[in-house]
Amino acid sequence: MRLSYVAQRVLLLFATMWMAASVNFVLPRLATGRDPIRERIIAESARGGGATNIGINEMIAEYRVQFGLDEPLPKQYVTYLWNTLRFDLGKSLSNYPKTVIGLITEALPWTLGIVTFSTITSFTLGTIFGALIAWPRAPRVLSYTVPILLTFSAVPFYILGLILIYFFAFQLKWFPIGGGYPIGTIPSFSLAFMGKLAYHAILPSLSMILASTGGWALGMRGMMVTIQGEDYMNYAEAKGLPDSRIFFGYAVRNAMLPQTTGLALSLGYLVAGAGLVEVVFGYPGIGSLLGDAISKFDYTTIYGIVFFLIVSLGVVLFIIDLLYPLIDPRITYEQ
Amino acid sequence: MTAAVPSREGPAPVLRVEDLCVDYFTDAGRLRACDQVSFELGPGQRLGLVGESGSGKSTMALALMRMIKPPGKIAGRVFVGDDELTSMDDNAIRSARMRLIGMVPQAAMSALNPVIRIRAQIADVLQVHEPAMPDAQVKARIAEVLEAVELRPEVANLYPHELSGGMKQRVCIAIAVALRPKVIIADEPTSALDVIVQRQVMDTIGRLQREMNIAVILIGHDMGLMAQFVDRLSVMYAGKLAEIGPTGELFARPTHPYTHMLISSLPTLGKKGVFRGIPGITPSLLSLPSGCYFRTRCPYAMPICSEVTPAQQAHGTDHRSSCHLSNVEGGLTGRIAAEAASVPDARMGGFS
Repeated sequence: MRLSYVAQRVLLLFATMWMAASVNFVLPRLATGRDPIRERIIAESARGGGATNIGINEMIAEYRVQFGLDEPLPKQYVTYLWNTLRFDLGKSLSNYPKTVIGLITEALPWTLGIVTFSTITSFTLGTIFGALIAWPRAPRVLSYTVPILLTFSAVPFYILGLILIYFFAFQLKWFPIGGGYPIGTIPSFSLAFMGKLAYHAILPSLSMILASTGGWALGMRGMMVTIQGEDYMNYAEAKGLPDSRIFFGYAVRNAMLPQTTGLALSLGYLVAGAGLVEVVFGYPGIGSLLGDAISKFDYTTIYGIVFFLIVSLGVVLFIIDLLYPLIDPRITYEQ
Repeated sequence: MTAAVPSREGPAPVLRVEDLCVDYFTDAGRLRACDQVSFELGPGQRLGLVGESGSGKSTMALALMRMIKPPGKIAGRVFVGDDELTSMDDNAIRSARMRLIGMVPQAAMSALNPVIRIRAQIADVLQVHEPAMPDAQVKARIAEVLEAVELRPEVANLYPHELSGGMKQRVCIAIAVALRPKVIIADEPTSALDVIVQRQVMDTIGRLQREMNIAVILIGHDMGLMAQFVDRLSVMYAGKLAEIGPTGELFARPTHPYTHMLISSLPTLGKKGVFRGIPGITPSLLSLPSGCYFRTRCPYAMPICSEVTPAQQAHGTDHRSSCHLSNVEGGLTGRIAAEAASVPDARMGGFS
């Protein structure tokens, strides 16, 4: 049963990827009347001050061959799918001749680093906090933190980021204004460089942690309140169990289920999540790459990143799907 | 037999409830959900507790285990053996639950933690109340109690959602008897089960009760079930104990009109006709009538009923009720006989 379930999930994952790739293929080609190559070459030649149009059509034809655009659509589609399967997402238009996959793999560790750290930290803090706020026998003081959490979760994290930059980097000069590491240093695995990395990561991480902890806490608090009305909570008390046991084994254990789903989803968006924060902090991750690509109309990079996001979301959900029965026995592999 | 017997009914009671009150302080005023309830329960006795929804049955059950949450407040005294529960500190009352007073919950369908195996749910009761018990013995005890409620020991490895309703109820019974308490409160243990399973579950409770000599308080609406199962029956109305007495006597000679009407609302094979209910609904606890709380629905209400709250009066050794009719010549029985004589088909009144 389990094996066939896994096989089924893998098939579904590939189907999702195939569909995403197809949409990626079809979407730009629906924009009729626009020819990215012609537009780009004319723009380049205009920038170069070239007034003549001599040879432009030949150049366009040459590039069309190079990008495979002279082939009939079905053939293009098959080639495209085959390339995608090999993770060949084409070459960047604005950073030609760098490949899109090369750009992504360069940017990915940066994003994964700060977003994983911030997501896990805010999830842990928020969940513990939310559970305690909703617990009647916890210190009352905690309930006064709800408005603060609400405020932080209502402010978008890129605005929070700007505020942090203004106070801590611009006014107090405690932290660098932006970047992933000091300009002029060469990335290496030395301890000194790691320290600099952490130093640069503090503000962007902090803005994400501050902004999302409130959301996690409020979600957990809501679940805890709901669960305290459940019959098994009353029964646990009638069993004479100590408070700590009821809190962890009964209340938190059950309230965690939707939280975990939420965590899974946000881990799926891990790669995309930090987009604007990275732009604000000039952090060299996927978000900055995407922002850059959008501002330069770098279609291949945009589609490459979007496709990559879909794939990573699919893969994370696939893993979560396999793990979920471990935390909620009511979810089984069988249909 | 001899003068050495301490009280009139033999051995000392395992449960003694004295003037138990539960008050809720709400914005709309004080609300007394349980009003000066007193009774005793001998070892191995079965006491039934019936009443309409909202009459305070479950509140009383919770109060016995001191599980009323704020804004509720408990007053009065509850003795289990020599231990007084209402004045215990929090740790003591926690260790008294399930050890002195066991409980079979009302909603067995949802009373078990959905994400934990049955084994762990039985084990946590044992581990908390008997911390010195070695793991092997815990394991053996789990198998033993599961067997006692006619479940296979392998059930311990299952999760609640893998069990049927009857099996879940049996697991709850197993947990209730795991520590062999002196008293078990069974709050409508069969309300969600079909009649066949209901019968089997009640048989199991009855058998364990006899084998372990546990006193049982059975809470429910089902007068038929009560008639079969309990030795003594108590009737609650609007938070007060209207009548309490031996089941047979209560059915044969009720002394409170509410009891009488509950009994005559039972359909019987012999008397066919329009089913007869009790007109009206339980009054709101926030706006109770003056005098006797039942007078607004009582067909035998007299002028005195709206002026004076009836006191409890004994009828024989172990039978008490609070009704002004007890002071009237002939009592309730006389009134019923007179009514039956004047209106031959009084029983066929139907719902009004």
